[in-house]
Amino acid sequence: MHLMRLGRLSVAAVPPVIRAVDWTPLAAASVTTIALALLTTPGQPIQVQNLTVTARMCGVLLGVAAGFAVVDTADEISAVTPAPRWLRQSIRALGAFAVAAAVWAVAVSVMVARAVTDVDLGIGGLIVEAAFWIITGLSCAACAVRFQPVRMAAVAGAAVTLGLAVSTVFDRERFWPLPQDDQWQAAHVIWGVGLVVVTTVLLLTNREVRR
Amino acid sequence: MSERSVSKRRSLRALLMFELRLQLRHPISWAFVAIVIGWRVTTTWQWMPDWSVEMADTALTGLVVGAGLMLSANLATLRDQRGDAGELFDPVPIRVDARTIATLLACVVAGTVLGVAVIAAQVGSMLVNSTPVGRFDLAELANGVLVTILMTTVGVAAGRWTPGLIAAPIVILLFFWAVFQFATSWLLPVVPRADLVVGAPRPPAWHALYVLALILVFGAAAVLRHGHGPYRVGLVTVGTALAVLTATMSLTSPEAALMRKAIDRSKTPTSIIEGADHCVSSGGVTYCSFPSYTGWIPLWEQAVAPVVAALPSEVRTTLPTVRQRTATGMIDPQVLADNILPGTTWGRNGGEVASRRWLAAQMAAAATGLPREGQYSGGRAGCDLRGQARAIVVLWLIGQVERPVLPGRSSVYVRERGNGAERARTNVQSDFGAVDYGAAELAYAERLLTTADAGDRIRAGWRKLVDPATNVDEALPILGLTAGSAASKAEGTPCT
Repeated sequence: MHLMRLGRLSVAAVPPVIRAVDWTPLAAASVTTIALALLTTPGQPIQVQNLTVTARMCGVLLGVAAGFAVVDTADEISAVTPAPRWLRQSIRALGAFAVAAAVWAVAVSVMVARAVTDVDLGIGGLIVEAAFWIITGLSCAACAVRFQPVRMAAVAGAAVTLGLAVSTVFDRERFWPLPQDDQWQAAHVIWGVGLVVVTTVLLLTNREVRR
Repeated sequence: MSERSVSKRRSLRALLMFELRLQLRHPISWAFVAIVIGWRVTTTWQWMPDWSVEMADTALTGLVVGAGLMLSANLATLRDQRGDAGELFDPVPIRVDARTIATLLACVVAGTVLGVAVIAAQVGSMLVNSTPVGRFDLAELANGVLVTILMTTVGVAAGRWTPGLIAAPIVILLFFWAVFQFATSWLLPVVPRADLVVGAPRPPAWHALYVLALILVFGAAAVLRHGHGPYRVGLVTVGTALAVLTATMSLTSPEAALMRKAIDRSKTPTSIIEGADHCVSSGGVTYCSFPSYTGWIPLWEQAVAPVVAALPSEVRTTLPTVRQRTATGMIDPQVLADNILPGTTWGRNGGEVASRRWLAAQMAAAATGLPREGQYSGGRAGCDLRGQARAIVVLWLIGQVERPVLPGRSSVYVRERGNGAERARTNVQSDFGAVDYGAAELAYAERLLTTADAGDRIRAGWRKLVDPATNVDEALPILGLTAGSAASKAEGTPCT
């Protein structure tokens, strides 16, 4: 009985919550992502290193932009609705994740269609990385909005996400190997573990805020 | 001077000081500054600085500092957009363009202060206990500070032209994307180093002027948002013209021609020792380095001379040359046979122990007829020295310079060619390359290192001791040692 009520509530909550999301940042990032995919070595087959650079940067960018979707500036008012906070925030996060993931997939498909064919492009590994960065962007912003439900919180989340991303650039061999490198497997163990961690953080930050 | 312009100037100064305080205290900028200093100091601490490499890498970190400052500059500019802030500012005598100018100037000062501080911290840490080589290039460092300033300026311009908070993160990503995607283009505000040849050409000083022109363009663009005064339009025009001019000068410079030549040359593989022809002879050994690395020859000598001094005199005449190599390139087996090949790195602050031990090991291996790094005996899987008398000798020779250690073992995933399947493989990595030895040989060598007449005994019995057929048990009486732990048996292919 309880579960059925929750199910009905979830279905009913989706359209208004999705409508309440400010999609502008994600839209801007999506346009940029597709543009970067098209601008990667135009006019010639895309090499593995160029493809991975663009795919990785786009993952980080979409994560940062997705973070803006979990900002509910009316969080204190929404608290009086029957939908609990975790449900409202999860709908926002899932919606943003779906859009970001879809845009990333389109961008990478556009590049794969033009890529060199004789080498392994490591798409499986790139998917794990992109998932990590999109969810990291979401959870950093989700942490920040717990303190203050304002749009500026998304910028704080973006700063942390970008800070994490640039930190990994200093050890490129460990974190950002190419599919042909020996460290490829080990790096993706790190990204996989990281993905579990940031997803847990996201789930925890979606709980009710004590007021 | 009219009273009005005095008060205008005074209020602009007050505004500038206020914005500057905010910029310099912003937690985002400080976080990015901390990331750069923390990472760069830890990753370079144990390596001798090669300025030709480190100048470019240090300048590149201006991009990260700039990312933090761009976010804070963008937030400062967008303050007008919060709530009714714009309306609240309206009755204040100072106008919106003055606020933009104050923010811009504050960003330029903050960018200079933090940019210089971050670069000074990196260079300062690299000077600790170091023998730097290569070209120290102030123009390159200035370029690093300028790129930080450019990014904060772009942050202000973006804040004035697009109200969205997402603009700054997108622009930051665009900067990084361009640097990684077009790494060899000199039109980038900061050019990463190209590892084509040792001492690859770098953009000329014109390039720093090009970044300065870009700063002018974006600064003027930010102010242009508030109206097209003749000064502002003039500034954008002058900035653009200067940017085009300096970009052209940097692209048509002699350095650019050298760079194109280097790119062409890198397409045909060259030998790893090409150009390493600055040679010095000392103590019967010849040391050759690339012209910019001559400062390290004494460091190599300190690691090689004690080994050579411990050898019998007849062996000293047949030693290979110590010749520097590049990290990538064509490796001729004859080059490997005739030379000991230190690379373009050397340790510092504790890291030199491994560098010295490695180089001493190469000379010890050459003297005793063992395979050296890069040479293979027993196939790619390497060979095993356990149970052979010369293992003790070679480890004792290393001990003249640094304490010998056991080989390292690492598990690596190897991707098979063809089907792409992955499998784990254990690699042995000793100072001789893929050459294995055990704790028993090391223990004997360590005992020998504390024995006074060890050198004389080894030199007297040299021929017998370095013979691959002589085992440890046969060597003990010659070395004056009593049997200790059980002698180990070869587990892999014995070294020949």
